[in-house]
Amino acid sequence: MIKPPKIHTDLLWDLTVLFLGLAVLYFVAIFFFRNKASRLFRKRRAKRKELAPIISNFLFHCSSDPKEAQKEYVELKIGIREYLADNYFRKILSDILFDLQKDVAGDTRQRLFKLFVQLGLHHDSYKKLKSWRWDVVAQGILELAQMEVSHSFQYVAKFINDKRGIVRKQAELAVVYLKVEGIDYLLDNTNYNLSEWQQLKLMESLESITDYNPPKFKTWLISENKDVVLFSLRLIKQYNQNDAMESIISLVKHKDNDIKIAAANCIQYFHFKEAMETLKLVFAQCNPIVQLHLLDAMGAIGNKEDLGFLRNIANTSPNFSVANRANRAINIIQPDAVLPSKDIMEDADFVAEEIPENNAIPVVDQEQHFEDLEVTETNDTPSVEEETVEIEEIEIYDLVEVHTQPKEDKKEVRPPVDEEENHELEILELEADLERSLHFSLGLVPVDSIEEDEVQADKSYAEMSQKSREQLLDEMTENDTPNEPQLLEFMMEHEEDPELRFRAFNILKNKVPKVEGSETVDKEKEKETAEEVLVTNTVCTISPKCSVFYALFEHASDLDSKRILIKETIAIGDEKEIAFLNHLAQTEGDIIKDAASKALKTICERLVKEKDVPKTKVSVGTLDDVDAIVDDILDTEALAEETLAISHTNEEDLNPTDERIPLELCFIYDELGILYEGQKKKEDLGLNFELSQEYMYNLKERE
Amino acid sequence: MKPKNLLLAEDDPMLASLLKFRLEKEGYTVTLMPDGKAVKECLTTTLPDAIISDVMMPYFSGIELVDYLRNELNSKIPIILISTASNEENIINALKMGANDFLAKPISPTELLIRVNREIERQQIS
Repeated sequence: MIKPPKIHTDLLWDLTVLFLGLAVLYFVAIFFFRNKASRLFRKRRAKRKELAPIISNFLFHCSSDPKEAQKEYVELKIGIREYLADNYFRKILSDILFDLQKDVAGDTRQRLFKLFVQLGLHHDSYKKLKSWRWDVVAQGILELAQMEVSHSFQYVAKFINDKRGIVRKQAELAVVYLKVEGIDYLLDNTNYNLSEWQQLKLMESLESITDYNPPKFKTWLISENKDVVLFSLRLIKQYNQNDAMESIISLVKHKDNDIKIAAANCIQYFHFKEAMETLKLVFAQCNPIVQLHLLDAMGAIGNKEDLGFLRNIANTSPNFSVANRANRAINIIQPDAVLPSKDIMEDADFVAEEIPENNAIPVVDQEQHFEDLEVTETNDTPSVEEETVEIEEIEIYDLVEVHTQPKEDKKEVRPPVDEEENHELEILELEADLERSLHFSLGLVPVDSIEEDEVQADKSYAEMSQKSREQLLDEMTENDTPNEPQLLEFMMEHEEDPELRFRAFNILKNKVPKVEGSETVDKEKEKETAEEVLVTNTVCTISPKCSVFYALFEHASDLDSKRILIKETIAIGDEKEIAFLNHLAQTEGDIIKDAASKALKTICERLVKEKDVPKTKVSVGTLDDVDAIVDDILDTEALAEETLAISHTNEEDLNPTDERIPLELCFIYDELGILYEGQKKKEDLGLNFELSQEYMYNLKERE
Repeated sequence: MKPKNLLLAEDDPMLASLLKFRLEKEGYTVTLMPDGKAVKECLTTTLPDAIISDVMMPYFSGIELVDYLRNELNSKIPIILISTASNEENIINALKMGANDFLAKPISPTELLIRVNREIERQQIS
């Protein structure tokens, strides 16, 4: 069993008395020192009050004062000398002057400084400099600086390399404040760091000096103290001393990153264009932070010749900030050279959504017929734009005519010239060069020049290298050029390389229908043009997302599903599906692209035919004509059957084994009253979807 | 000629004493007030020829004093404000309230004297 320790009650009482005694002592001490402090404060305040008019008298005394004032001034001066022997009095006097110098300015302030020295109060500050306590030393330096005791400079200057940070900093500020040459002394002699805050304070001190004539700070760019170099660079910028170009450029190669950055900033500030090569040279060796500053400087001083270097950085730098800053520098040198590209939507996305809202393009009802529109001829002068369009048309027409007509006909293009007008021809020939150049500038190629051009083209082709010929063929594949067929024929006849010869043949084969004019070709061409126009208009006005197939296609898991979906569009597709399929043909892989292209073509053909039907219907006669109506209906049904036949053939092409037909097609069949295969056989439901197991289970349960 | 009475409202006794000495040396009778409350009490009994007031004082600021003098007492006696916070907003506020002049600390006693003279002369003319 544990027993509590036995404590003698006398001991407890002794301890109680002891702690009570300590508590009383503590409170008495507090009371005593508090009273003493307040008594001293009151005494000091009374003394200050007493001394205030004396100081005011000293400050505002002048020799022109009345005799009584002069007498009073002398008496006060004698009286104060007696008091000055007292340390406490001197301390109060010093405090008063120190406080007052903050509130007064002008002549009074200068008198106050003079009074401080006259009363010998600066000796107290000197004594403080000898103290072993750093705070007292710092206080002494501060007093000497604030009271502008200029001859204390040599005493204070000793402390600029003091080990104690606060003393050193106070001395640095005092040295700059006390003498104009103080900054030179500091930069020459300081061995310690100059913090950024200290540098700012020193600059503030320099700013306060009236009529300050700064020294050439480039002298200290060769200092071994890194902070002196940095401070000098900062002062060079502050006082716009741009005569240190070479030193600053060489500092970009400094090992220290801070100096590199400061030098780059100086280069940017002073626009030292000569620094560009050095900046490029050191760029790769620097860290990303320095690189950012170097890029800023490059942006400020660079020109278009440096864009390649900057683009290279923008494209190759692994650091996002550096690449971004490089792009910014490029844009500074050449505005808008780099434009925003991330998350920028295509123009087509905006057109499809905005046009219907604004009704910028007048919407024509499907039932509105073209005959209802009145065409009026006006004799107004065509606008400049219309004229331009006309010129372009002539150009195309001329080019086509030249290729299609025999060469003899070309001469007939010119009007016949009478013999009497021969003399005029001479003048015309003189003007031929001028006319030729005029036509060339207008884009109108003169007829007689085509033949010459062909010969020249053949010659130039013969002189071409293998690579150039390949490039020419590539261009021909993509673009139409006026002399193409002739040149291609020339290539087929004279080209030695069999591959190029074959390519020329292929291109010519594809181009021939475009050039040769016949009725069937024209019709096909018209049809193709109509289809192209349909696709273009649809793509411009309707977004691919408008199609119901878009979302289904997005969620399709495999290639087969996607192909089936494309197949479905053939049967029921309209303008919305054109936009959708066109989108697929441009963005998807080869298999989907082929399927989409086929489907697109089929839908376009169907829609073009559908549009042609109403035209003929209206042109046949009025709606009263019953026979015409019957014919129209028959035509429409025939068209529908034809369309379905087309869709069937396409379906078979895409997937010959699939006998099912789409659900939407079933509805179309129903509407038109056509019996489809599934209905005839009564075997297949004709559905293109599968019933879920859950549904089948429920069906069985019901049964 | 009867000396002009000036009311000097300043909470710093050393600066107040210095300015008082300088103004009295020029022949003015200066009454010192340590805070805004004392100034208000003084103004209810007697109105000086001009007031020099610090902006930041205990109880009432210099701007409040201007407001009190112009809007409650409807007095047009010249008021010169002095302040350490000599930002543009303070100066504009003081002048909008009806202060005649504004001096930023540190102040030159000689400059203050000239401004006081000028304001009193203007007051006499008007």
